[in-house]
Amino acid sequence: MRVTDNMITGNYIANLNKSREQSLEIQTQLATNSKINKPSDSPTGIAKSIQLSSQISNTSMYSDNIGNAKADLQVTTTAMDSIGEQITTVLTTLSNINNAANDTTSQLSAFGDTIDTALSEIFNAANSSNNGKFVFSGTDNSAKPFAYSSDGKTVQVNVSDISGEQVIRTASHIYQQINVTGAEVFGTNVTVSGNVDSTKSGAQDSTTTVYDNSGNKYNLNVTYTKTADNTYNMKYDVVDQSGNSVTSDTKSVVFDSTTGAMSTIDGKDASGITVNNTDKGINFVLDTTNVTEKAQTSSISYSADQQTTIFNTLIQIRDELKAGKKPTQAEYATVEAFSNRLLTKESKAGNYVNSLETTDDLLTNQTTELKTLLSGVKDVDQYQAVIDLEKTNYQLQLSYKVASMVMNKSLLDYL
Amino acid sequence: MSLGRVLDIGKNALMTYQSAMDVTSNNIANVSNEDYTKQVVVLGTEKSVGQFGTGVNIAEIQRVRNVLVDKQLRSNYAVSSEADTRSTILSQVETLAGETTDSGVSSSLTDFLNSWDELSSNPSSTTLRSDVVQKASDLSTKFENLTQNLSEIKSDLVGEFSSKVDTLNKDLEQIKSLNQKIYATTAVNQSASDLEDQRDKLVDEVSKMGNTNITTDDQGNINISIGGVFAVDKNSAAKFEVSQKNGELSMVTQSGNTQAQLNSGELYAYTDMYTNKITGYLNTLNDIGQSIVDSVNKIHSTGTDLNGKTGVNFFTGYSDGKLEINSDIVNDPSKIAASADGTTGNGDVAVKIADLKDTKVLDGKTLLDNFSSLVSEIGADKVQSDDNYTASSLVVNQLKNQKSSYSGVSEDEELTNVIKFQRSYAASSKIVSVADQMLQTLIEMV
Repeated sequence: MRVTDNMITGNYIANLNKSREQSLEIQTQLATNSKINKPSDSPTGIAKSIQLSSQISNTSMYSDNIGNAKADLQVTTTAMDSIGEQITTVLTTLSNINNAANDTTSQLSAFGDTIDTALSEIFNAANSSNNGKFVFSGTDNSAKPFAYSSDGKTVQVNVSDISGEQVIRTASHIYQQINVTGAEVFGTNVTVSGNVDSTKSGAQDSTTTVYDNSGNKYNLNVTYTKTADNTYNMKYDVVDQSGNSVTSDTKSVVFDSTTGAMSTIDGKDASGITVNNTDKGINFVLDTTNVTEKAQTSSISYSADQQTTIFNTLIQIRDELKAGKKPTQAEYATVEAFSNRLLTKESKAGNYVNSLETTDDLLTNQTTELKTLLSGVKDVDQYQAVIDLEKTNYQLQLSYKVASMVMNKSLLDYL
Repeated sequence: MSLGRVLDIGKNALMTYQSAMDVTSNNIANVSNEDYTKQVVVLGTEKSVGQFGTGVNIAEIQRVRNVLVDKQLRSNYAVSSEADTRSTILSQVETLAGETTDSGVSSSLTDFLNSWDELSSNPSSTTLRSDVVQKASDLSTKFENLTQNLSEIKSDLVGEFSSKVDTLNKDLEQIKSLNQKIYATTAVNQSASDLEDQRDKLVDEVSKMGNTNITTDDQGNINISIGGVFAVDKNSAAKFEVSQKNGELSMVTQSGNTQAQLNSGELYAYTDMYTNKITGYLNTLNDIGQSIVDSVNKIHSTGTDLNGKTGVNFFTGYSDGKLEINSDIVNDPSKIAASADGTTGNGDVAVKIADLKDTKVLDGKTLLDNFSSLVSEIGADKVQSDDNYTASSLVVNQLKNQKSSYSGVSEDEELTNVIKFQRSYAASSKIVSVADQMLQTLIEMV
């Protein structure tokens, strides 16, 4: 084959360019510590990199949200601790009042002062806030959740609803409630227990009495109607004394086929249902979670601590003591019931924190794994890259040397 | 045979080798000229007189060319230049995508949807509401920049395509002119090698432009058609124009009646990138933008803002890559409708909007999946063009080597010819000198 000078220079330049291109690519990778500096470096890698970066950003955001939620729950727990201490003081005071030696008017009045101080502390703690959010206001942050009525005689719910559950995402398609609602802690509970008859196909009714904030009486009708095996439509209906429905709703309830225990309400884990009608001042939690399904005659019973709120009970006790009158056993029972409920709800808040911490740990691990994966997709193996760069540079130098020695030679040099 | 005849043979030889040196020196002068075709002196013998030869002459000066290699090279020029042009355009496009850093559209989209998640943790927070607006604005800016830059590349392609068509028209005109000059030169038995070199170079350039059909007629004229449309012969050269109809970029004849059916070459790369590829990228981008606007609005309009009002769209529209944020919300972020039940601390609507991260809202994929697929597609297109260019370049280089091996100048070879012709010239002059001495001897005898 004839080898012309243009062939030699052309091939030399083409190969030299290839080597320099390789050298530039490795230098860029080393400088950026990234194998992917443009989409064409790895079309599948760039798609993976985008997805992984997005997931890292998401987990970081979930983690931030968990941090904020934990701060809210910390304030909630602190407030509940404070309320708990005051309630203990109240219960101790009420026990002391029953002591025959402490029943003089002046002594009762002094006990009234103690109750008043406790009430004030509880009231302030109930209006605790964090980062602009009132921790017991449900989802209504427009004002403090509790306020005294204009005549100063009763404490009322100051916002439209204190039963709102605040939910955040802690992972893709995973949601978690991050607040203990005011209704749960300070509201009233109607607890339903007993069983529904699994053999009965028609409606299974039961009724109890409930009250609004002003003490007006209503009938609460709860009807279970079987729709499938272990599945019922549960309709609750609050009806006033004139027979008019004030608020009602129907939920789908599923019982465990083996144990008969209630497993879900509307597809979610069974929990209390908030019954709320702001206009009528009706606000309570209907807790049906203890109801079971059995092949025996329906037997539904109700337990309602609904006569008054803890604030108004304490106001009543205080006023009675100031007037030289001992509190009633029912009032003592209300405070004690509140104390028990507070402990339960404090435990619930603790559970939320634990759950958030567990999720946060998982997210931290997830972030580490995602970063490792991203590093595998993007990061340069620096040792290998340095060796490759050296190799390319060596090839380049060799190429220059050969070119300088051979390319300038021709027959002309020997004529 | 007379001594005068010897002198004549010597003289012819001197003239022949001088001419041979001329050709060799011309070859050496063009040793670095890739477009030059080596010329070879073919020596012939003068007609004999009786039993005696009458010396040497130049039978022919050959232009060494391999038609088959030329044809293959021109066909591969089209493939190679198409891939090269695509790679150049796509490297601009992929630089715009900017997804190798944390400042691209994908990170802004993630940040925007995450800002709703953050808002859900404290829906009444003014700071978090402002952050949502800020992130939406950032996403809109990134989206608009990417869309506009892609549109700019697209409109730049029209300018570059137009410039290439102008160059093609000039080349065709020059080929026509060279056809005529070569015909006129060869008609009087003159060498038209240099003109042919010029014409070959132009034909090579034209062959890079598109799918060409190049033929040589009986008279040595080169006839070319591009994309099935007549381009040039000895008598006329076509004038092509750029046409933009229904979003399609094409090359048509001056009358506008005939469109060149391009399917390879540089011009085809421009038309395909303009009409299909970049338009496709823009369409995908617009679909994603419109989906963001529609899906966010669909959820947002069901929510309630901090003032208890419902039914407002978060975005007022999408046009030219811009996600237009409702100005009422920009001026007053309290109008972001994050609540599902009307209470200020409810963030269920914000959660639902954040859920769009995992919701398949477009073509069975999430918004981010759609965008990452687009970036991946751009990267894959670039890799394909690069691979095509690498492969076709190898073929072109090999064919160029074959062409150079056949038609190129070898310095060693030419210097060998210099020695050969110099020796021959010296020997011929010796003959003249000896003949002269012999004549002198003869004269002195008288």
